[in-house]
Amino acid sequence: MTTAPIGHDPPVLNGSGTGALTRRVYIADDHEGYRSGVARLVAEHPALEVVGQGSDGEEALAGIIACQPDVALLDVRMPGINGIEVCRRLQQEGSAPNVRIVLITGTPDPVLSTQAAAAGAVALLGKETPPNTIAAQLLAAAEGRVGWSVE
Amino acid sequence: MRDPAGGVAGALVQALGPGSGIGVAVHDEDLRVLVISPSLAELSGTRPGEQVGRRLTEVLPGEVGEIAEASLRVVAASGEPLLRLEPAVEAGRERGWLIHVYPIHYGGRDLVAVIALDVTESRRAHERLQLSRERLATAQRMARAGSWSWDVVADRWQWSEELYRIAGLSPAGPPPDLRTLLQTVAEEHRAPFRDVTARALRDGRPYEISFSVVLPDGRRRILRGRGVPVRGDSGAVERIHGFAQDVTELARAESQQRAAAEIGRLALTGVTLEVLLRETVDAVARELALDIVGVAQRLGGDGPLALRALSGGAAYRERLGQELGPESLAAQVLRDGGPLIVPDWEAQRVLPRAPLTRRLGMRSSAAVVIGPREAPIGVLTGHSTAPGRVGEEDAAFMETVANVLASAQARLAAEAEVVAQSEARGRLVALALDAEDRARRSISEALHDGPLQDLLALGHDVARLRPAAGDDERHLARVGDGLARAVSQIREVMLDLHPVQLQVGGLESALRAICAQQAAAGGYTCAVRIEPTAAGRRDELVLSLARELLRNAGKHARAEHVGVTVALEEDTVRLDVVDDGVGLAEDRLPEALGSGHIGLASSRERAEAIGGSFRVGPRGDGQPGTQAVALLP
Repeated sequence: MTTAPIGHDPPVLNGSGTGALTRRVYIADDHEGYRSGVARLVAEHPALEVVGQGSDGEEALAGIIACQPDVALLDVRMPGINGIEVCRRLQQEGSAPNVRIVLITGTPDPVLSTQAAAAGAVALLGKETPPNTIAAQLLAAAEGRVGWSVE
Repeated sequence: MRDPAGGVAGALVQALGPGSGIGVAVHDEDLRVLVISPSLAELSGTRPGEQVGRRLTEVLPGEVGEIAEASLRVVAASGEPLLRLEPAVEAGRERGWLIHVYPIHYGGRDLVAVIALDVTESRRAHERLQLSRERLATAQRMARAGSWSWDVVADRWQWSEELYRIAGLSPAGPPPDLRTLLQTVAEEHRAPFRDVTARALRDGRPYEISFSVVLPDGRRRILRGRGVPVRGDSGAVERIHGFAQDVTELARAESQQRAAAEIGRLALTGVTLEVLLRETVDAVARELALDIVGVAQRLGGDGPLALRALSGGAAYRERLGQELGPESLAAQVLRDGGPLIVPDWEAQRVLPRAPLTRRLGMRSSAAVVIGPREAPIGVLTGHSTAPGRVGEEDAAFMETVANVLASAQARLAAEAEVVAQSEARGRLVALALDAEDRARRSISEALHDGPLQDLLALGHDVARLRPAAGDDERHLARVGDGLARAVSQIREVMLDLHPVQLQVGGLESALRAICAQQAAAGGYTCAVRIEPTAAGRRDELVLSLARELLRNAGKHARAEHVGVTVALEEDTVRLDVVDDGVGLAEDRLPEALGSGHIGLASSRERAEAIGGSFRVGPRGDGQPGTQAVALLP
């Protein structure tokens, strides 16, 4: 575990352009293959690090509260509690106030986006999103640069 | 004295020859024949000359002569005439003679004269008349019809015997006059009766009339009458001939037939057994003028009897729905098989008196079994406070009604069975469809969680590969495209099987996904509107029906625009799918449901399996196109 400061202010970048700090990422997906692929991608990213992984909603809820990551990438469809519900509960309970949540789904559609936004997620990605884009989205989310125009 | 047989009188006497039918003789003080006509002499079997100067005892053999001479002696002694009928046999034919014997004074002498009339023919005529009268009376009795004749001028009435009986009067008395007659006519029929009679007297035309009479014992009879006025020389009506027929039984039979038919008709209208029984007991009480009519039904088909319907008998009403004991009349009849007729409870010693009849003061009762003898379903009973009010005919009517009830009950039972079977079938269909839904869902989920995720993960792996050789980039791009196509195909299949969005995104998400998919495939635009309250109730079925209808809109209707609405109406989810396509002729729908469009038929099955409905027809707003409405409770 790192001791990165908690907060959602954008991290201060130094002049050289390298991140002064890495953004901490929690990943939850019940599909082991997809999850480990994303974890590898995050781990390889210079500005991101994986601080925890889960394979269902319960695990994700507990892991996020324990890790207090900067950003969490949650699969929408998971056994037990689904990703949107995890998002909603964290929002309601305020137990991880600074975490930005990005949802990812194998079956994207506009209604799901609306629901994701309503639940407090900052983005909903399709699982076919190219790896680099996913990494970029996570970083942007962690830095507070993405959000919905949904009330 | 002069010869009595001489002169004109003698010639007349001699002219009365054999076969003339009139015989004359005069006897002297010694009762000897003074003069005798050949016709009378022939009666004694002798010639006239042989009888003159002789007494009858000398002319007629044995007892006949004695009796004849005794008659003459009585008349001579008493001076009173005598009339007697003398049977005789002539040439094997029975003949009858009417013989007058009377005293005459002639020339200072007391003679006895005999005049005999052959009445054989007139007696036959009389007998024929008598026979014809008797036949008429019999016919009138059988037809319950009586004839009458009214001499208007003398105001004299003649009534046939049967007419007396019909009017409840004794034939021994004189016929009633018009005023007395009117007294027997039921009050409400008196005015029409008077009017019809007055009009017949005025215009002399034949007339017909139906009216009721009230007999001295209070019973009412219904009569149908006809009168034929006869005009005299002056042109005025002097006489009216007529007849009156007692049609009470006929009218009653007609009324009962109507009542039984009405019960039968009611049974076919789908009323409950409760209503049918109530109407039935009222009808029986009305038709038979009974004070209490009840229906007892066996509980559970072969259990004890319970009172199900009651007409009259307010004091007994608390027993409705309760079991009847073995001592009840209904239970007795059920044991014996019925029908039972008790003209008077107080005049019979055979049956144990049912407690009800005693407690409510019922004097006469009838009861019949409802249903087949081997498996009776109940008993119909009727009671009157008056003795002798129920007879064979009443029991026959009750049996007719019981038959109607039995067939109604059988029909209701059959209907209940059909409903039960149809419900069972509905449950089976629902189970089968649920099983199919579960299978589709599990396949769809397996596709989602397995191959789809694998392919997506693989996509990431491919995306991160760096081309090593010149051709690699092209190969990698092709692999990536292939993966994307596979992902897309799997998603299509999943939507067809079961939209996994449903679990997370709910009805709206899943329905929009299906609409988008079908709209793209069918080449039309699709607008979706979902009331939030309608979601979460019949989502799976709504999706399944919508998918089928949207597919039709593209495939058969060639629609350009389709609207899908899901709303909630009084706890029932309503799905409307409206298109602007070529439409489906309404008369073709059953055919389409039955054969061609398996999808539509199964849609209806699914809706009906949960007690809902499904119909496809022209648009409700009158625009060209088709509207499908599913109501899913």
